[in-house]
Amino acid sequence: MNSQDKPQKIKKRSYKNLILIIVLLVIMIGIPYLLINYQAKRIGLTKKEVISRITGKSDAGSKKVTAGGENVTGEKIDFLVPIAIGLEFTDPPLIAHIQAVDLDDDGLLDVIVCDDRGNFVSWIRQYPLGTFTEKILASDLIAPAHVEVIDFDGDGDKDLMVAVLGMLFPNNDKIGSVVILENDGQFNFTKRIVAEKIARVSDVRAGDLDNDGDLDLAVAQFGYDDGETRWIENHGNWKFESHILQYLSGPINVEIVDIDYDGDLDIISLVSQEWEEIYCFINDGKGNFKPNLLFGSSNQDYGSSGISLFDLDKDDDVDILYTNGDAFDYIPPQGRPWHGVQWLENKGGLEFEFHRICNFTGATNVRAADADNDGDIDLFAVSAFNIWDSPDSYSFIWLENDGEMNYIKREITRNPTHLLVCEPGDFNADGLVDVVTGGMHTYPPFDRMSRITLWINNGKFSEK
Amino acid sequence: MNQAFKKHIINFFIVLGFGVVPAAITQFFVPQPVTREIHVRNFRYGKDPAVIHCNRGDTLRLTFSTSDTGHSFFLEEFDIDAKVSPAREEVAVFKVSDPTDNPYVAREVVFIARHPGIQNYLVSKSNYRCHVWCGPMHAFEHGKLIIFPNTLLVFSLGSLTGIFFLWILGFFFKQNSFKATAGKKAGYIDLFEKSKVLRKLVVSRWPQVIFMMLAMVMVYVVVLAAFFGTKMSGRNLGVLLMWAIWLFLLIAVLTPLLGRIWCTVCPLPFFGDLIQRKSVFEPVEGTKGEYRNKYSGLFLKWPKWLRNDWPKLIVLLALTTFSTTLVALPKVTGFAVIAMLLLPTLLALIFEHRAFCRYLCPVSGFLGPFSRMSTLALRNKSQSVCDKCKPHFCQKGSPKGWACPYGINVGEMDESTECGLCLECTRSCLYNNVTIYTRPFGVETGSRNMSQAWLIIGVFTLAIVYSVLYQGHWPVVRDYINILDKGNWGLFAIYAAIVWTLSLIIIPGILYMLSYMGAKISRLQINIKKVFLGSAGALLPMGLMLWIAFVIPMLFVNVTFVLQSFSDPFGWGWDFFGTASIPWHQFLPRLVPWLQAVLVLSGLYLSLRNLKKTWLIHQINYKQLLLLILPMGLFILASALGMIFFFTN
Repeated sequence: MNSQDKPQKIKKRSYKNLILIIVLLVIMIGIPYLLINYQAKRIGLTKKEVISRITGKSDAGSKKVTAGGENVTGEKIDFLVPIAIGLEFTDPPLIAHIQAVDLDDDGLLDVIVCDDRGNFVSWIRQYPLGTFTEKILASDLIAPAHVEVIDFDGDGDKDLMVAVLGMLFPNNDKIGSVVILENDGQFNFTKRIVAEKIARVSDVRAGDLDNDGDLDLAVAQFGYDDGETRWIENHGNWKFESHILQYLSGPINVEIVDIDYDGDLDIISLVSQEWEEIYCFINDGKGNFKPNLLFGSSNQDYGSSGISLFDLDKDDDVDILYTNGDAFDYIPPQGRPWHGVQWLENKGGLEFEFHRICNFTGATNVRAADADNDGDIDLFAVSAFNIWDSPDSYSFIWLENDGEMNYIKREITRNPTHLLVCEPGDFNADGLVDVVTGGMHTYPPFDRMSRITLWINNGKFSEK
Repeated sequence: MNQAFKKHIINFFIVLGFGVVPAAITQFFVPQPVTREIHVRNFRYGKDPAVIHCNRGDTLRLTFSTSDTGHSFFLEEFDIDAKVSPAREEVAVFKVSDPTDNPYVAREVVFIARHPGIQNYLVSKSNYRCHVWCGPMHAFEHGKLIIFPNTLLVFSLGSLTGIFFLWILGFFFKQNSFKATAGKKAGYIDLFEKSKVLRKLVVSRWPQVIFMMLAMVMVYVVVLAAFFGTKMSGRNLGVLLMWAIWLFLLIAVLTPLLGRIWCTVCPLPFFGDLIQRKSVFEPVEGTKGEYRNKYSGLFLKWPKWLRNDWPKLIVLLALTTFSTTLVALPKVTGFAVIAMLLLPTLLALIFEHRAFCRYLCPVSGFLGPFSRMSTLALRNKSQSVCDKCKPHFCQKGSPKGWACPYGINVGEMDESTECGLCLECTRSCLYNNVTIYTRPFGVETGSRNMSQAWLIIGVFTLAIVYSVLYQGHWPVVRDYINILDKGNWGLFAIYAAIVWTLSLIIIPGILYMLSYMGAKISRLQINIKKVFLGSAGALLPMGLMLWIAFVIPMLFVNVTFVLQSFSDPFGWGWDFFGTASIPWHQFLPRLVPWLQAVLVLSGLYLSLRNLKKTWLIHQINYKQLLLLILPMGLFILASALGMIFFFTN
């Protein structure tokens, strides 16, 4: 090699090394960039929010977090008297959902039940006052998870929309279905399969999502690793078309509401599993939805277990009541100390402020009602995953609102255990709030079991 | 037809005869079918009974319960997936072939122990698994259904007898054929001689760099998915890429065929090399100590007392002790990969060349010994050229290529263990005297020194330990490694102590004793250590086959999850290829025990052959030779017998 070649060779080698290092840098930066960009577009977040979410560094979406009234515990006030209603049981009951509704329009509240032990949907009819008789409306619905009463076909009678898991325990198979039980007016119900062979369905709600005058559906499909959120367009004559909104695993609940006050219905969903997020899908009025993250916990084991909508602060907008207490992931499935009840205050413009209300291990359901008849909104909450071996574990509490949105946690009962759902309503037409609860006894102990319990308000607060 | 090939064919048919005849005869001894009522209790992480024995045609009436959470009894071969729920006697029975079909709910599952068509006579073993996620070790929950007559077991035992019989017979016949095997490069074919293009591709650095970049991307994706993807390891591409695909390819394909070809493209030493060399391509002119290339860093010599295979063995054992955690927790996989990237880089700042690869890398600890079995080897073309070469360009570097980062002088190289196939010597040798050969499988015999012998025994022992841990039906064994959700640290300590003692003391001790026995009964004046080193080397073919038998179900069982993860690598709800939510199916589950049995039998044959070959050049009387290696031969036979029972029964 002569001396002229040498610098050229060094130059060539430097270029080659430089190219390689640039390629390497492009790969190192490019891959995460593409991934984040793609994910941001899919779930409607900014790239920064996506990074925050995947690194678990922040509660993305929750604009402001405040803690108020946490764990202020008050004395027990015995104002609810339990009565077992519905079918008797021998095996541990598995009640997945209940709805208090007057199905037959006789002026008395009935209870619609999703029974995962018997794999049926039943109607506990109250007639006459104080007499409850349970009748199976549809069987062979494997693990019904949620039922909603609505006149879906607009024929003047009440139909039932059922979310069917296909299996209660974790499963990735496409075994879920959406079933509408069509009422013929004589309370004979015909099964209409709206969607089947899809990831396990955990919730279904109805609303006119495309503004064409009929009811469409929003569907939460928990799945297991591969859940979905979808809306189903009603084409009339029991013809439907599915539109996938999101592919995240673990949707538990969906709610339909006009969250942005633009005159069309939007969809709110709670996605559990490792996401622990609340999304809203903003509708453009034609059934095109854009995702928006309202809240996300940085705790991957937060245990989101349910949401419901209610104007808790009476400011004419819808707030989100939210429990975290799902412990199905754990063996044994017992709650964790961070479980509890909270609400997301709607501040307008899709801004929600997080308020922790109380710790409640294994909390699975919270419902709003004026329990003490004092004009403000109190809350009822149940737990299916408390530490049942501990004598201090409540299964049913109420949270008394002091009028300033501070809540005092009060025990209702520790027996029965494993209460998954509750639903307030005035069952005996005395103007006071009663509550009905359902028990999901999937794991021991099996010594304090209940199936459907009606908690009648004894009027202790009526003087207020 | 070549004489040796003819001999192999005849031997093959003799062995086949040994297997087929008894397997055919057993078909006539099938008892009358009966009905069996069996209750299967499911729990984390096992089934009770863990083994269901029945006769062909029996009607099995199964009832189920669970002691803890939801489980399932997933028996793909019989299209059954019975979902078992706590506090519930009924099960929801799904079809594996179409899980979307409506299940039926029943108190018992009834089926007849019969496979379709010819498979009825061939398939005797099926695994029942769990298809409901029940905890971090859910994937290892299984039991087995054994249908008698166990054709596969009888066939395998017959074949095993045939192989051993022929091996013994070989000491009494065709004695002069032994001499032919003494040549160092017998059966080697020079690939560079055959293909100039291949030589060009190898000598050019670009193809290697491109493949290394691709491997780097793979490692990067593994790290990203492990840290930021779903914590469900069965749906995390990082975990599946690493422990299902890569491990399978490495053990079952790359190493047997191409030796340490993974090291050729391994990205782990990339940054360390870059720091030392300041160039990925041609060497920088200059010198560093004894080397004819310029290097940066302290470039210290690795401590002399650690220049052996002991550190590798220790790191390999440490890593494998925590294998369950690595597989079950994606983040642990991520940390392990990052450590494997950082450590070589840090060591490159201090020590010369690839200190990590040479002395610490657990992957090379595994690949090194087994690369001796591979059909690919790097060697010199002409020994005389090397003998005349004083500058040792291959070892010390030249203007065209870097000094061997593994410190090898190709002229003195007669085994593949140490060579990381970095291909640098094909560039640095100014005489173009380095080439790549194809060669028959498993031709290298013996072992070089005690540390290498221990490493071989270690990887052999780990193959058996892993098989028992992960593919065994004993749930109690899995309790010993469950530090994930049961936190059995006490049992885990016992397990770790057993594995380390087995690998470092018990099995080597047994081998040493057998070597001593062989020397005694043969009455040969021979160094026991030499016998021991030869015996250890003979374990390699069997060890490799056991590892392949281990990784086959790891991939075949999880192939659906691999496809799912490619569509949704991070578990973020993506579906690139439409496979994100396909139902779980195993790949050829009926074939797996047959593959495993054939691999064990092949391992037995090759190990016995190599055991004998080790001593052929020593001009030992054949009767004495038989006596010398018979104890070790019986040990290999016993290992094969045990693994045949394990995989087929």
